[in-house]
Parts: sequence; structure tokens; C-alpha cells
Amino acid sequence: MGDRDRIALHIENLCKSYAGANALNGVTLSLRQGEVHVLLGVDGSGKSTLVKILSGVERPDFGLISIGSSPVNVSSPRVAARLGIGVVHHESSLVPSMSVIDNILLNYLSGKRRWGFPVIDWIGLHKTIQEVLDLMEVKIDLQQRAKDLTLAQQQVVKIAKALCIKPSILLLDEPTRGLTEIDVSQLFRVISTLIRRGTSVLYVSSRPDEIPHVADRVSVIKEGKILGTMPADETNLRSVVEMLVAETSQVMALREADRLRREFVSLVSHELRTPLAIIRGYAETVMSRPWSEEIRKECLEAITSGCDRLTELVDNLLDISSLEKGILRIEQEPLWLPDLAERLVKAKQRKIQRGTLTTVNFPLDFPVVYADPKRIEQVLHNLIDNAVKYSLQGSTIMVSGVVDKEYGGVVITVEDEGMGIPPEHLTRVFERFYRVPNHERAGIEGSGLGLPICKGIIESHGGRIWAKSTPGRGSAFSFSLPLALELVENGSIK
Amino acid sequence: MKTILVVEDDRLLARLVELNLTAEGYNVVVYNEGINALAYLQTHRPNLVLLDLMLPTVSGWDFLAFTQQDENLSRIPVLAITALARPDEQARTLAAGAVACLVKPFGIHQLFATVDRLLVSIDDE
Repeated sequence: MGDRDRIALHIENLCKSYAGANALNGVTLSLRQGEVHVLLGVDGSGKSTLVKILSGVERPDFGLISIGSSPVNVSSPRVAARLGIGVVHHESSLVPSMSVIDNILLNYLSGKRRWGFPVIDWIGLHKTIQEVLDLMEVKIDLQQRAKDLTLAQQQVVKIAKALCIKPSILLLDEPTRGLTEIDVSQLFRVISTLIRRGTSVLYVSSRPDEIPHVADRVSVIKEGKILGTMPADETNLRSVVEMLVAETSQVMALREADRLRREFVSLVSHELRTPLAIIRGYAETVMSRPWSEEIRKECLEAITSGCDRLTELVDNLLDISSLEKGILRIEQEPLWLPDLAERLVKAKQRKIQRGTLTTVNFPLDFPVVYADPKRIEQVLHNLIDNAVKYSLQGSTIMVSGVVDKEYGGVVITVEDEGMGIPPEHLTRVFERFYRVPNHERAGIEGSGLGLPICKGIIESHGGRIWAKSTPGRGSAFSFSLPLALELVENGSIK
Repeated sequence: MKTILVVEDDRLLARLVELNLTAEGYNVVVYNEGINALAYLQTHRPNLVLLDLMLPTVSGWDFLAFTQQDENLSRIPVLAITALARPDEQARTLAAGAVACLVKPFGIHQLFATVDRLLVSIDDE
């Protein structure tokens, strides 16, 4: 095994959060001996947090850091230095009024102590500094004050400071920030000299263009996660940049969930307003004039109906919340679905305003299933209501049931001849708060709760729910319910 | 007698408006679907339209888009009945051609006042 394959530093599943926000979300990364490994990420991706943890400034919430092959506990900057980790933080700076040598000394003082006082090995120190500066092939007057140095020189002094502890691992956090092009090439020369000497460099950067000049390998960090590690040749540069700018699927999912949630709040407030308008309007009406007894009764019935609608909405909200928490109660008992469907269809038929016809088409020997009658009624009620809502005048809605022997259960289907659902939205209609963004539907009210509740209820019964649709021709929503086992075994299903 | 066309798919809300406006002495015509209301407008000229925006098939927006194109129909003032309460949503409704918004849940006195105001302003013209 060559030196270059040896692992100098390994980080496993490192996590860190600040006030509930994840800065690092399970970072795993290896730094080989003698390589420059670029950690590429935009501001806020977690790269500086990683540097702070590796240098002992911050403690991780979780995860393992190994040097060579032994796990280490980088509990403080001093421990980091003792472990051979040198750091150049991008936000740290030199003390402007102090000389170069004094600035370097500041770092050195945090080293050995005797009886509580720092012990300075002057001879050793000068030797080390000279070595470091020779190594870096830079001529800097050690007595010069830091504020008189160029940015590149200051950066070199910062590196020199880090190198005084003779680190085997050097962490450079955005070392080229603020440097001119000439300064940058000088810095890169220093890095390659260090690499030749066997130092391993973790080079933290937000600039993909630096990679070809300095890196052996590159890892892309985003939202506290390593998206990928690859050799840093030109051919990979493109995919590195793509990785850097592309949103992770997780982030996209979170954004979408957030959007749906916000939309849901406004949808629910719309849904609340219509029954409220009915209750308020009829209550005021009843009090406004000496109406006939008949009209007074009509008003009071309307108020009751408005209250029912509000109750249904509140029930739906509670159901969704129970499903989310996994505490929806299902009370199973023998249930003959043709009865239930017939009863519902009859009740709905009376209420259908737009002349939509509903027929039931069940085989006579339809088996009994074990299910929660109220919950299944809720599902059917919902599916039929949807079919009515999205149907055109005079079209037919059909509720049917079949026995699926292969599946060992029954399948109920509610079919309409309505406007249909485009395929790209079909799988999403069962998602919470999701509503098909269709111009034709813009006028149809709904909270986006009905189908997710149906899905939750059916799945709690061990069944499945799905939809088929042809835009412009109609949709069919089906759900399956498993048969009671004894019915399958004693052959009641033909 | 002044005629008010009510386009509202919610039967209870439609009935509420019909009941009260009839009692106030208006001739009220109710349609549950936008398309039927548009058909009615081909042969009739009501003094005011009360339009629910959340209508199936032909929405309130479609209805407005259609009537605004027609020189004669665009003269009939449209009062939008809406659950969209945010100022930006109301601005959009007005930009689409409605002359005023009645936001749910509205009281009947608010309904009377708005209808009276709109009908009086037509008389002034």
C-alpha cells in the first residue's frame, strides 16, 4: 500500500446542529495521506462548521473522527494541535500592530507550559520558523508588522503559524478569499511543497475553478451533507458544478411540503368561509323580518346544514392529524358493501344538483368483509362526492364492486365521466393538501384532505387505493379490502 | 322592478341571497352554473350580477372574462361573492372586471348596502 492510499483522517457520520438547525447532517469523508482534498460548498453548506469541529473549536453532536486508524476526541484547539491538525481559519486574522514573529509566537505560546507559565523554546522556535519559511520559499522579514504585509503574505504567515506545530493534517478554510491571482499561485506553490513533504491538506473552498489547480480529489458538501467525492480532473468539473447548484431531492421535498402547507392554510380558510356565510346569513335573515313559519324553518335547517359542513371539515382535520400520528382508530366488524353502497348512492342521488346519475352494479354473491363501517362509508362518501364535484351535467357516476380472487379481497370502484386528471398529477392526488392545479378546477372548492384520508383509512384496513384517469373522459377511483381469512379458506369465494 | 342575476353553485347560499333580495323587492334570477347564466345573458339584461367566483366548469373568472369582452354585457355591474379575503386576491378580482367584492361570511345588511350602492350608482349615470 502506497502512502497515498493511507488514510490520514477519516470522518464518519458527523452531525452538528445549532438551535435546531442542522449545520452538518451526517458527513462522512476521508483524507488520504499526501493529498489535497477540496471540500467544495456554497456559504452555509456546513464546510466551516466541519473545520471548526476538526480544529476543536466546536464539538460535534454525533459522529466519529479518526486519525490514522484510531478514533480521536478533538475536545479543544490544543488537543487538535497535539493530534497534528493545523488550521487556517478564514475569519481569523493576524494582530496588525504585532510583528510577524510575535504573531507566530501567539500560536506557539499555547503549547508547553511549566508551573502554569508558557515555556518558550527560543532556539527551537526560530529553527522551526526558519524551516517553515524556507519550505514556503517566501522572503518575509520576521520583524515586519503584520499590517504592512500584503494579503498573500498575511495568508502565508497564517499558514506558517499553523505549520509551527508541524501538523500532518492541514485544514485550509477558504485560503484564497481576498487574494489576487498572483497571490493565489504563490499559495498553491506552498501547498504543493507541503504535499511533497507528506502533509495532507483538507482545502475548503466555494470556488469550483480552483479545483483543477490544486486538488487531487473533491467532495461536494451541501446542506450539511456530502453529495459525492470524485477525482479532481477536468472531466469531473462539470458534474461537480452541477452537484453544487442542483437542489437535493430532500430540500426540494421539504420546499414542496412547505408550499403545500401554506396553501393548505389558505384552502382551509376558504372552506370555512362558505359554511360560515350560510350560518351567519340565515341567522341574520331569520331575525330580520317577520317571515312565514315555513321560511323560518328553512332558515334554521340551512343553519344546521352549515354547522354540519363545518363539523365535517373539523372532523377531516382531526382525521388527518390522527393519521399523521398513526392513531386513527379502526373498529372492524362484518360489513356487506353492496348495502352500504346502495344506501349511500340513494342518499346522494337526492342531493345531486346537476342531474348526475348514479348506479350500483354489484354481484349478488358479494362476500362480507371485516371493516369499519363508518370509515368505509366515509371513504365511499368522499369518492362519490369527488366524482359529483368533477363531473359535467348529465354524466353518469357508477359505483361497482368485484371480487379479486388472486388478491383475496374485494375491489370497489367509483367511476365518473368527468374532466379527468392529467397523468402527472394522478399519483399525487393522495398526498396531503395536494390539489390538481388545473384551470378547469380553479372554481372547485376543496381542502385537499379527502383523498389522503381515504388512503389512510384503506391502508389501515390492509387495503390499497388507486386511481385511473383519462383527461376529458373521466376518472376511476378504486380501493381494495382484504377478505376475512376464514372466508377465503372455506371456499365461500367462487 | 330591478332584476338581479345570482350565479352561485352553493344552493344554500344562492337561496339565502334570493330570499333576502326578493324580500327587498328585487326580481331575482338564480343559476347554479356559469354556463347557464351566460346563456341567460344572451337574451336578458339584468341590472346587477352577483357572481360566485368558485364555480365548477365555468368559473367566476371565466364568466368575467367572457362578459368583459362583450360591449353590452360589460356594462352590467358584477358584484363578486368570494372566499378570497386577502387584499391582493380582491385586487385581482376587481382587475378581472368585478365592481366590488362581497367577502364570505358577509352579513345580510352588508349585502343590502352593497347592492343598493351599486344600483344607485347605475341610476346616477
